[in-house]
Amino acid sequence: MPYKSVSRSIPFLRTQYVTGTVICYAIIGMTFVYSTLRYGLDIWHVVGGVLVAVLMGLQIFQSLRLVETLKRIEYALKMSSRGELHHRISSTKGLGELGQVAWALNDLLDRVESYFKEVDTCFRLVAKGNFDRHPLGAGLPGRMGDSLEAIDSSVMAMKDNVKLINRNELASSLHRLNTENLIRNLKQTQNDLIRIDEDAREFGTQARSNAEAAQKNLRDVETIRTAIDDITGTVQEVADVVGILSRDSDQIVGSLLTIKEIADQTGLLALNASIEAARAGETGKGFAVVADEVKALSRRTKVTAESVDQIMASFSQRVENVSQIAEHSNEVTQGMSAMVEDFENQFNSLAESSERSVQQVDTASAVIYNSLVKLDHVIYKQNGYVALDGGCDEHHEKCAAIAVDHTQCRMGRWYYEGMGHQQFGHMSAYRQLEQPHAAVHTSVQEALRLSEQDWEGSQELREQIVAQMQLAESASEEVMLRINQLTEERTLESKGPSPLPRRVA
Amino acid sequence: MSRSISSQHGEIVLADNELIVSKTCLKGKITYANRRFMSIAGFSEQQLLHQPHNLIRHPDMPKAVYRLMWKTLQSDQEFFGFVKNLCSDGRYYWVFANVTPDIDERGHTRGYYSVRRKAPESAIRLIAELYQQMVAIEAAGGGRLAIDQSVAHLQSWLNQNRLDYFPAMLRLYRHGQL
Ligand SMILES: Cc1cc2nc3c(=O)[nH]c(=O)nc-3n(C[C@H](O)[C@H](O)[C@H](O)COP(=O)(O)O)c2cc1C
Repeated sequence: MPYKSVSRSIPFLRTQYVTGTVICYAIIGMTFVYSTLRYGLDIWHVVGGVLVAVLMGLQIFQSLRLVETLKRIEYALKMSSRGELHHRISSTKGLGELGQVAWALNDLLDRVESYFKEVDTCFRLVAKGNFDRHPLGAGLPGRMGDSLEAIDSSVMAMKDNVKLINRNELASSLHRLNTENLIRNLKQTQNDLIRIDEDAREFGTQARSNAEAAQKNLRDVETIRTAIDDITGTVQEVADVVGILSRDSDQIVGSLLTIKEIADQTGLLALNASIEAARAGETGKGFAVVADEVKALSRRTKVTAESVDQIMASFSQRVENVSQIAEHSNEVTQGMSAMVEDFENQFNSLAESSERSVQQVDTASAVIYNSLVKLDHVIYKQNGYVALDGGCDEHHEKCAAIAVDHTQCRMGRWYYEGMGHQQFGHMSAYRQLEQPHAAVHTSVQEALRLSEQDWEGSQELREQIVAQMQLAESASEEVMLRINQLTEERTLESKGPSPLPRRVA
Repeated sequence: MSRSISSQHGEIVLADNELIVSKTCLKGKITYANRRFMSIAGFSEQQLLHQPHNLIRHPDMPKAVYRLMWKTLQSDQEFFGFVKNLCSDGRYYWVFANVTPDIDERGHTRGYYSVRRKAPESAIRLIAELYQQMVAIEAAGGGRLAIDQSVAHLQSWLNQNRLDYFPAMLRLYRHGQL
């Protein structure tokens, strides 16, 4: 350190002391020489001179220490004013007031250095986003302590501010992530609903045609019943005709008996006539009687013959009737069998269409259930977003819902125990569903767990939370994909060769 | 101002606003101690200067804490810790120490600076128990391995409280509890 020995032509203490001491020693020396020359060598002069010289020496030594300490004080002050606060003045024992000055300066520097180190570290960490290094004011008096307290409260205010900003940042990135995915999720649900709607329409058309077919069947049944009534009537008529025919044939039998009698009587008459003819002589008398009898007989025979003729005519009429009735019956029966065939066809197609309906309902219900499962899933994520936004204290039930593991949620029960396992267990998409589904749960749970830590103060934590939710979203996307595949495969299966060819035959 | 009150166990309790200050060179030899340091430790300036700082080391202090301290300082970070120090007459005092590097104009570390403040009683109770366990671990094993185990114990204690070392110490100092 360059050390100038004068300040504006006034010598520094060191020079003053050194010059003063040299002058004093010169005076002592000269006085000693003078008194020895004048009064001779005197032991007391020698002792006195040496004593004064030694004392002077001590004095000059102390003076030089004082000066040296002053220089150190100056150096410490100079360095302090340059910003290096770590210099201290030690080894000042025996320097009295100057020692006290040095200690007072040390104490001051201790406090000033502590103050600046507190402020410095505190703000250095604040710049890195750590607001938890509170400045420590203990031991710092007056303004210094107050100032640290003021700094502490402004840092707290900054922390709140940053918290707010960070909260907003997290909220907005979660919000962005959520809206993007929510819209996709809702689109999926919308597609499901459109599909269900289409199925329902087709199903409705089918049901309508089924209803019409059923109506027609009803009408056909009505016709068949009339036809049966008709046949019953016809059969009755046939029975009547048969009755009449049997009565007619009785008459014919009667008539034939009469004819037989007539033949008998004619034969008898012929015998009588031959006998009478044998008694010739009285030829005229006998023959007249016979002639009368034969006449009467021929009349009766004619009448009978006429009646037989008539009967035969009416008989043939009735036969005609019967054959007509029989024909009619035949027609009715034929019509009926056509109707029955038609009816059977209709019934078959009705059965088929019912079968289709049943399958459609099955598929639709699978789609609906799958859609429900998907929605549960969306809701699970939404719970996550809501809980992340407000924390578990605010959203108790949401957190409880999130805590449910992937085997216990609706989808989990569907997957491991319920319909899912029964209906889809054999499909490959079913097996591929398990891992992403579990990942949705663990990721949301992990995000929530991270959010219990001090994410407001940590960029890294916030990024981790968003990353976990992103994981949940991509896993969820895969879950949706797999469920859609399940629905697709299911639909194909039910459209393919039906395992239930229920034919009414 | 009430000065230290000594209790029957030989503990000296600091007053609220006292600062015990010391400086060391890079190797840990004392280059400065303030007057309170000397009066409480019972050493004169001459006895202290150029002596290693473990002059006032208390046997109840775990080695792991100093290892952590030196590691922290060597990475130019400040260190916090509760420290039990020994007086020349065998008594002891607890402090909350804050040690920082002294950096000169050109950015070089010239030495270290330690400011010790009064530690809250409830914090001392908690820490003394922890240190006791750590010292036992260090005594049971030997060498570096035992210190590693002791550090691991400290870490698991921190994990239990879900805090890192520095936030935990700062909180103990400010609130007297975790
Ligand atoms: C600035 C500074 C202050 C220190 N203050 C203390 C102290 O108050 N008490 C103490 O036991 N060690 C203190 N040490 C640590 C010692 O240097 C030493 O590492 C410690 O006492 C362990 O000693 P050992 O390594 O011999 O076991 C301090 C170190 C530095 C750099």
